[in-house]
Amino acid sequence: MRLRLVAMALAAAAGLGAAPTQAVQTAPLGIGRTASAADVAAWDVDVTRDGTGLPAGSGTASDGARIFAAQCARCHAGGSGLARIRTSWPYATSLFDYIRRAMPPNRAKPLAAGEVYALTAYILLKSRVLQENASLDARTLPAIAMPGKAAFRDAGGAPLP
Amino acid sequence: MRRLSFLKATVFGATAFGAEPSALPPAMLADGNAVAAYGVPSPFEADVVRRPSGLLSPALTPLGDLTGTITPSGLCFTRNHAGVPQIDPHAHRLLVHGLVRRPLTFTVADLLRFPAVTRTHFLECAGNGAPGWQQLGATVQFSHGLASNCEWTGAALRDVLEEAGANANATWVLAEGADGDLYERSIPLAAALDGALIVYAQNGERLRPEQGYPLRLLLPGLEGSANVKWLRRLHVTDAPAYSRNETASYARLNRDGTRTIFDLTMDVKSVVTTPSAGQRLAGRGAYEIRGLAWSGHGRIAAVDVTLDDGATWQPAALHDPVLPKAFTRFSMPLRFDGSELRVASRARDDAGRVQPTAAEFAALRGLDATYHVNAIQTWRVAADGAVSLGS
Repeated sequence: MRLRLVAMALAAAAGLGAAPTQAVQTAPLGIGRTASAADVAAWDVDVTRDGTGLPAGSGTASDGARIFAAQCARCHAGGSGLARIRTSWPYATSLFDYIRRAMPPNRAKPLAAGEVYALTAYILLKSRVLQENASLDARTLPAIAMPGKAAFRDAGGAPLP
Repeated sequence: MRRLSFLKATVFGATAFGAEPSALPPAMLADGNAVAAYGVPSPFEADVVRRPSGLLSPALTPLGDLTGTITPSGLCFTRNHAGVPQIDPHAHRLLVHGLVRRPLTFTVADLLRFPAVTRTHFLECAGNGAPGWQQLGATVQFSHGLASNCEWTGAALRDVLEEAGANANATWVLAEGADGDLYERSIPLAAALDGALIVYAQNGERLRPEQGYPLRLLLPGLEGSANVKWLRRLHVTDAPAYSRNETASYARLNRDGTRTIFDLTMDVKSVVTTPSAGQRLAGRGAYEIRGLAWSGHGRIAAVDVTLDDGATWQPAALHDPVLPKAFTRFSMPLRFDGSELRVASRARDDAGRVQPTAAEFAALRGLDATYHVNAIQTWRVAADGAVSLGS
């Protein structure tokens, strides 16, 4: 709201004559190149807690066990630490987001969307959130209730949504 | 010729005053070194370095060896999550998208065209003062060195977002870095517009790679890890992402076991840097107590110093400039007579927030708190002048 007002004030000062109730159509300084939807899609890997940004595909915990052994175990030997995810991660969606954006670090990300779903399912199995036969996709992943979420508060002290 | 010999006699005075030529210091008896293209500290200052150093481990600023308020760029504390990327600034891009009317891509050169804003601010890691650091070394470098203070120059984040035309329902910005784990944090838009910069320079030159070259976020007063380095994407949204590094990591543990997220402002804090643990007063006589104070909420209003573990407090002098959300230097004369001292400082900011004692902090946050620790730090000065960790 404040941003928009400032933008309008700037535009008015620059003589663009924007009516007070209209959004400004022209960039104040004209710096930068318009990004196309394809430009944005190529870079935007954000997955938020409601599942926004999750891609098509699915994966099972048993597939995830195989992928974990091949891709992850070299650094995460034995999967130690996976049990803690049950209490320290309030949203299962952030597992998908983090694995896809960060793993393995410092190299090309080799995992297809289905493999990331499978790894997420395997990790949630090892952390006793999901059952053996679990399969995840864009619909089931955001529906998972993480046991640790109740302990989290936002800056105002309220429980998380 | 005559003039030259006159100068020689005047400058060196050797013959005129009868001193032995051999008493001249070695540096005067040899050709000087050539000037380096980029200057570095004297080899005699080789101990003034960040510690520890390594691929992933944080490196802490040697606060006990520094003067004034500006941290030299090469000594700024650094913490990263996938090593320090070497980024070609000509290939680097910043994408601004989401709830905006004009998604835009900026080059570094584009960002240099915005009105340049230069301000001095501290950066402090959320984990500064966590109890674990003092096990690595009993000095102020380990107890408080995850904090630095620089002059930063960049484009106002507000200007850049206005260029893209953020929508009225925009309330958050997800910021992403171009390092090996695409590090991401959600920033409340109100905080992001409160003086935030997209920085390309520190202390008069381009950012150091460890500090986010070629672009980083600088969010005055907010925990260091939210100031995303190697910035490559700003996603304007109406909700946080609740990503890994703002939930599973960097959540603040409270005494009742709850964990607070998105409470990003660093609280009022201060520490005596001289005398501090590991240093030694050379004997009885005159010294100066010196320290640093800062608050993520605003300016430092006052710093009190105690020599008797908090039984009595005296106001320290604050040195200009006293800037908001920046290191402020304070000092107080000390006459050391060989009696044991318990030295500590207590800061108050212009919002009236007062730095808590260790006991007050523990009552609020418990004994396991590792983030946003701002308790008063006490140093013990023994009768022989040796300084160590106090109570």
